[in-house]
Amino acid sequence: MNRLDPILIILLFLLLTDGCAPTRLNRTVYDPKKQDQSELPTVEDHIIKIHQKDGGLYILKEWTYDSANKVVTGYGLRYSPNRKLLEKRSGTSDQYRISYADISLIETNKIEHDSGNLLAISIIGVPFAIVSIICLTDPKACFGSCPTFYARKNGDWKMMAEGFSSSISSAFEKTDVDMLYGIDQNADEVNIKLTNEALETHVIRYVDLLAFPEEPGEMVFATEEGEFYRTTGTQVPSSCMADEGDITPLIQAVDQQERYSLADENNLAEREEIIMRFAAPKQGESGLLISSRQSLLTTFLFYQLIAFSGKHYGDMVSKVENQNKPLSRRIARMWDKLGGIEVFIQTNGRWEKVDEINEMGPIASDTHLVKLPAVQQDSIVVKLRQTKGLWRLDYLALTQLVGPETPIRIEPAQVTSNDSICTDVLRTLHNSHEPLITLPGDQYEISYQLPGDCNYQLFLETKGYYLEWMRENWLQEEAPLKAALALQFPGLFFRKAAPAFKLAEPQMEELFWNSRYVKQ
Amino acid sequence: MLNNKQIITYLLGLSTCLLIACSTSQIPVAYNTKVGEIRTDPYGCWADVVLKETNDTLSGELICLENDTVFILGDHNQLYDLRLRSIKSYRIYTYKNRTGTYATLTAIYTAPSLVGAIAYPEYAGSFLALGSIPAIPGVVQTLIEASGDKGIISGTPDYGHINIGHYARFPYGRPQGLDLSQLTLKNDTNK
Repeated sequence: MNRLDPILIILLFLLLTDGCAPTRLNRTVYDPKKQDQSELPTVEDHIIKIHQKDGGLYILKEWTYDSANKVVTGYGLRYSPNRKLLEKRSGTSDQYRISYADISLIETNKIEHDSGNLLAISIIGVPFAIVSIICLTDPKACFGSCPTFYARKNGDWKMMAEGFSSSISSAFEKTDVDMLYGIDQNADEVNIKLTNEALETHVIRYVDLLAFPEEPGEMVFATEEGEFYRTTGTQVPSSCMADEGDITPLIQAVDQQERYSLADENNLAEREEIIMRFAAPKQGESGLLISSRQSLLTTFLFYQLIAFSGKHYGDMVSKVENQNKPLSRRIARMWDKLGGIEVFIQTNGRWEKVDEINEMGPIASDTHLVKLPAVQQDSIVVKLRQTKGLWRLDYLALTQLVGPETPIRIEPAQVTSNDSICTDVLRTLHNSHEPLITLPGDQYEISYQLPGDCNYQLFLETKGYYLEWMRENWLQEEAPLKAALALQFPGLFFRKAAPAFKLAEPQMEELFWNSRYVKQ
Repeated sequence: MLNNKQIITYLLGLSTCLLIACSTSQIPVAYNTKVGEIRTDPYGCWADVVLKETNDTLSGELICLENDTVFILGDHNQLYDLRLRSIKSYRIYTYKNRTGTYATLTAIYTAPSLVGAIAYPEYAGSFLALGSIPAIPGVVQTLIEASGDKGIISGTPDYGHINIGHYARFPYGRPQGLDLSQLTLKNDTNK
C-alpha cells in the first residue's frame, strides 16, 4: 500500500545489518605491575575501577598514570571492601595517589552497541513521531490524492499521469493530455492502469491514447493549448539561475531529480524567477520544454477551503455545478492568484510574456511545449516566473520545431479488473455521455491495440472531473467567514494561511506518497 | 480504510511483540544493574549456581574465586564457599539489558500514529503505515535484544570457568586478611 522513501529503506537496512545487534558487556581487567602502560586503559575508557589488594575499590572518572613514580592519580570515589563509600574527591580537592604496589588489578567495562541501537531507533522514530503529531492536529494537511494512471516502464508499473486535477466539479470538467514518456509497447498492445487512490469520486468520460509514429531523432510534444509539434535537437540551458544559484544539474534530464523551492513564510502567493540562457538555433522556430508538477500547496489550500466551508461544502459544489458563475469565477480567481509557470523571453532588453503553464496536480510530472517567438540574437534568454514552493521542475530545454502533428486516436480495446473482463466499463469509456464512475480503491487495467507495425510515441488524453469527499473531522474546522475570505480576498487568505502551511510543508511530500489509498 | 478489527489486530500484534520481549529476569532489583550504572557499580554480579549433587540452586552476589573455590554471598548475608567441581552450572547476571528501553521508545514513537488511526478511522491505513516505519526497526531491535544473552553469562565450570572471577566483587581473588563473613549484600535485595 505504501512505498517507502529510498532514504528510509537505506536507514532500515543499515539498522538491520549494522546497528541491530544486542547490547553486550565487554569487561576487561589489567595488571599495572605486569603490563606496559601502553596496554593499560586509556582516557577513552572514561571510567576505571581500581581494585586494591585489601579489597578496597576506587572508581575514577578522571585519572592519569605516573609511570615514573608507579602511581595512578585521579578523582572519583573510594569504597571499603564492604562497599561503604569512604570518600569522594572531585576537581577542587587533592587527587588520589594510588601506588601500583597496592593495586591488584584495574577493571574497565564497555557496553557495545548500546548508543548505536538507541540512536538508530530514535533517528527513525523521532521524526516520524513528530510527523504523526502534526498529522494528528491536521490530517488533511498530510493525506490526499488525485485521479491516477500507471503504465509499464521497463516491465514495472510506473505512475505516469494524473487526469484533470483541477476539475474539482463538473463545472470545471476538462480534457487533460499527458505525455507517456518511454513506456513499454509489447508488440501492438499497450496497457494502462487506472486507479482511484483517494477519498474521491472520479467521473471519467474517456481515457484515450494519442499516438504519433516514432521518427529517429525526433519527438512530439504538446502545447498548453493541446496542439502537437514534432521537434528535433533539444539543448539544455548553458546556465539556469534561481535564487539559490545555478540549478542546471537538476533540470537537464527527465529523471525525477527536481528543482523546487519552499513557499514564502508570509505569503503563499509570493513569486520567484528563474532565468536561463540558450544558444539560439540557426534556423526555424524553437520551443521551450518544461517538465513539471505541482507541490502539495494547492492540495493543502483546496482541502483547507473544503474544511472551512464545512457543512456548506455540498451546497457550494451544487451551486458551482448549477452554473453559479460568480462562485465559479471566485474559485478560479483563487487558483489564478497562485498562477502557473509564466514564460517570458527577452527581446531587445525587455521581457515579453509568451505563455503560461497551468497544469495542476502534484502526482505525475508532465512535459509541455511552449512555442517561442523568433529572435534575431545569438542567444535566447528565457525567464520563468512562478509562485514560490508551488512548482517542481524536472526538465528545461530548448528544442527546434519541425512542424505540427495530428495524433492517431486509440480508444480502449479491453478493460479488466481482478482478471475479469469488464464490458460495462469498456462501454462507458466509449460513450462520453455515460461516464465511468470510480470510488476509492477501484482499479482497472485498460488495453489498447496499436495500429500498424511501428513504434509510437504516446500521450494519454482523459476527460472528466472528480468530487472530493468531505471528511468528518474536517467539519470541526468549519469557518464560513474564512471560506468567504479565501474566495473574496485570496491574496489576504494566502498570507493568513502561510504559517499553517509552513508547519506542514517539510513533511508533506513524503507523507503524501505514504498515504495513497490503493486497494490490495 | 481499515476496519476496527484490522486496527485491533495491528495493535495486538505490536503489543504482543513488545510484551514478549519485555520479560524480566528474576533477580533482586538492586543487582539488576542498568547499562549506564555498570561502570560505577562497586559490587559483584548476581549469580545462580546449580549444585551437582542436589540440583538445588544457590543464588547470591559473586564475591570472589580463589583457586578451586567460589564464594557467594546469599540471602541474609550468608556466605557460601563452593568447590567448582560441585557446581553443575551457573548463570551470572551482568546487567539489565535494554529490551525495556527499546520497547518503551518504540511504543512512544508509535503512539501518535496509533492515536491518529483510532481518532481518524478514515486515515487509519495512512496513520498505521506512518507508525509502522518506526515500529518495524523498534520491534526488530527489541526482539533481537531480548533474544540475545540478556546480559547473562551462563556455563559450566568444566568448560572455561576462568572468567567467572571477573564478575565478582573482588575479581582478583580473596583480599589479603579480609574476613569475608563480615560482608553484606546491597541494601535492596527484594526480588
